[in-house]
Amino acid sequence: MNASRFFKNPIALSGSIIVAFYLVTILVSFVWLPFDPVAMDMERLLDPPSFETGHLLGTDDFGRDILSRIMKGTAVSLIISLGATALGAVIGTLMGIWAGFLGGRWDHWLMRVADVLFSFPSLLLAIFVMAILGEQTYNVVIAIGIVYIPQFARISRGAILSLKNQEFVRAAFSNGADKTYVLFRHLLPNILVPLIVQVSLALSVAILLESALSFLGLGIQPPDPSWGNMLSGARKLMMIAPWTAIYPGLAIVFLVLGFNLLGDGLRDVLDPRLRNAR
Amino acid sequence: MKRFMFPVVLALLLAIPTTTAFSADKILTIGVDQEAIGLDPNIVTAFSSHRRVDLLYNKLVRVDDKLSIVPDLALSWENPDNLTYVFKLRKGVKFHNGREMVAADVVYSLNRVLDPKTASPGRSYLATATAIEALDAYTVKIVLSGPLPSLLEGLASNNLAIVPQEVVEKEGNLQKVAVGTGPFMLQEWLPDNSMTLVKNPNYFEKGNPSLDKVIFRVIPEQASLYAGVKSGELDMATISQGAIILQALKDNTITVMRKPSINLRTFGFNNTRKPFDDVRVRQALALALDRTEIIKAAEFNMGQASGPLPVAVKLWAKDPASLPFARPDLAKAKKLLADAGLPNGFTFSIVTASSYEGGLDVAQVIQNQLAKIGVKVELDVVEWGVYIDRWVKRDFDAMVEIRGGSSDPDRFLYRTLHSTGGVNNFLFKDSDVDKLLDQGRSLTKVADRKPVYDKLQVMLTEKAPVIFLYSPMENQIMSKKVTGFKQVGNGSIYYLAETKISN
Repeated sequence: MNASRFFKNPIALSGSIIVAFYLVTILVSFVWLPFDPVAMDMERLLDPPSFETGHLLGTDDFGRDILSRIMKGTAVSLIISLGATALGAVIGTLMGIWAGFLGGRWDHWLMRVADVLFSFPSLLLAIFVMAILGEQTYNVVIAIGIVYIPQFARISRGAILSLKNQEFVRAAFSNGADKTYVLFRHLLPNILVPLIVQVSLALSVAILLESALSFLGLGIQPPDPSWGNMLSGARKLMMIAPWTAIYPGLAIVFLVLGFNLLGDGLRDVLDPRLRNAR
Repeated sequence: MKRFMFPVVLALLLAIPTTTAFSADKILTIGVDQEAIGLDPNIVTAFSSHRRVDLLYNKLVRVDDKLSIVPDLALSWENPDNLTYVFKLRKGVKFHNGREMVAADVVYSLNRVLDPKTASPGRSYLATATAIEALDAYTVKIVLSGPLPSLLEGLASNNLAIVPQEVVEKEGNLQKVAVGTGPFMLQEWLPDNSMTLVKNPNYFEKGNPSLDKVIFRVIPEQASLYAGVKSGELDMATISQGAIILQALKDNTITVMRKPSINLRTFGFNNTRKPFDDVRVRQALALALDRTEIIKAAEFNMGQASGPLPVAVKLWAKDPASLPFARPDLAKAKKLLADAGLPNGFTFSIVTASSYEGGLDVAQVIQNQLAKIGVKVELDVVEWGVYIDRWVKRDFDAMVEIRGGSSDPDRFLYRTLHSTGGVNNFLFKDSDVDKLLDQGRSLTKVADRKPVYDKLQVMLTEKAPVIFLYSPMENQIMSKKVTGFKQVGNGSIYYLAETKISN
């Protein structure tokens, strides 16, 4: 039932088409790329996009094919974004549920930890974590994941708080249900909607954070391509070879757009209050 | 009383703007990418500080745009023997505070540099000096305990600039004030924003400077420097990014000046780590590198291949093409690796940083080229502070660097590659090289020194403790209004003293 509602929603549909396109790109990139993304070609430095040379999106300042690098970078960016979101969502949600459900001292301390994390701007916190952990790909996942923990904790705690005193929960308790049962049977399903929406937004922000970290030289290390380090390298070339910056930039823009549309669509489809609005 | 004061004050207030508005001050605004870190010429190390000292102070001698030694505060000099130098000073040179500069100031300044408490980076320029005396008000004698062929080149360094004793004693040091003899005087300094220098009306070179003011503006982004010159907000800027020069070259509203600098891009090894302790491995890597490709990809061709001595120093540098390993030879490289017991190559990491000096672009090309002989390179891209730290601690397999060269071969090679050299970060120890370096140091005449350094350049290239890649271009961009500027090659902007600007 939900699936058909989902596909009837134009926002959700367009979002999922965009994201699906990127997923297909990743699958393709595992088996085939137009060129080797790290191979340099000194005869073709900064070639503009052209059909004749086969470099459809041109080459960068080392003669590497930009299309191949974007395709290779898609997997990197998406894996980091999924990993970081998963990390942040699992830890953050557990923290939030725990705090909200148990209340008291647990609530107080867990939320103060979240407050401390929240008090840093997210990019700054991610840079801070990267500086401590060192510049490795999986550390990017951890750094962004840590940024997400307080966000998920806040959302799940808020949702639990508003639910736990409602009548169906009290009814379950008075019927003899234990805490674990109530938590998983009654509470978790009811906070899934805000969480799913938050996940889709977090995915898109992770793409931007990863790009920002790589742009600053803290994310994915060369020669491996990521959209962020491609942009970083293209910064000095913007005026003489704009294609080096435009295409990785567009790749970021569309994926972020896709995730955001998907998130909006999911909210519309799943939110019971909006269910009859259309 | 108050009633009378009011119109007087008003008249004064009105008078000030009118007078400045109508005087045609010749102002040159120069964009720089880094703020000066102190101004004391005897102490500063930062490139950005040296560029201010260029205009504020003088030395006994200086290097001109051909990189030869010419008179500055000393009009002439002679060395009756290897160990004695006598300098005749200019008469009537005034410090910015109006006092005449005399021999006693030279004695004071050079002794200040020699004093370990000053912690002057220029101290080694006077390494063997035992006595610095004033023979009369305008004659200075320097006595050495051992030959020091790079003495004149050292005396031309900003770090050996002549400073007034009374100001140093009053202020403690000259990091925040500037009282020199130079063509310009410090008027105002707003850190991280701008520094205004005004013409020294008493400058000893008659007719110079022509500019009334030089304003330094700190703009960290190279692209913004270019945009500033293009829009007319800046009159001049030093650019290190090849991509921006490429763009400026196509722009006919901008003058681009280029000259190979005396700096060297190097790819050096920690010679104590395996397998770099084996000369065959180092030679194999040297043979796998293609300098032309590196310069093309990393510098947009804004560089010139160079050997151990910067190619710009024509007097000493051997033609890079005549040195060993000038062209890549992959078959020979692979054979050398096999001989060294590494037929399948090996893996090592290059410490690099993404700033221009850190050479990330160069490291990426090297990574690509070494892959062709089966050597796998991991890039250890670190933040600039960490980069410096790793350099100081010699904590690297290999490192891409930019080395500040020198117009004197002894000066540059001794500190870089002698086993006791201060910046021998390659931990290279070789008795043949040490012997030649010591021999070169003992000679003073160019004709005697030349064969020694010719031999050394070949030997160092063959032993390859560090691979000298190229000299980057020194690039200045300026608006068409600016004329008369000359590049030295060591970054100095002294020639602003002879530069003119039209309104």
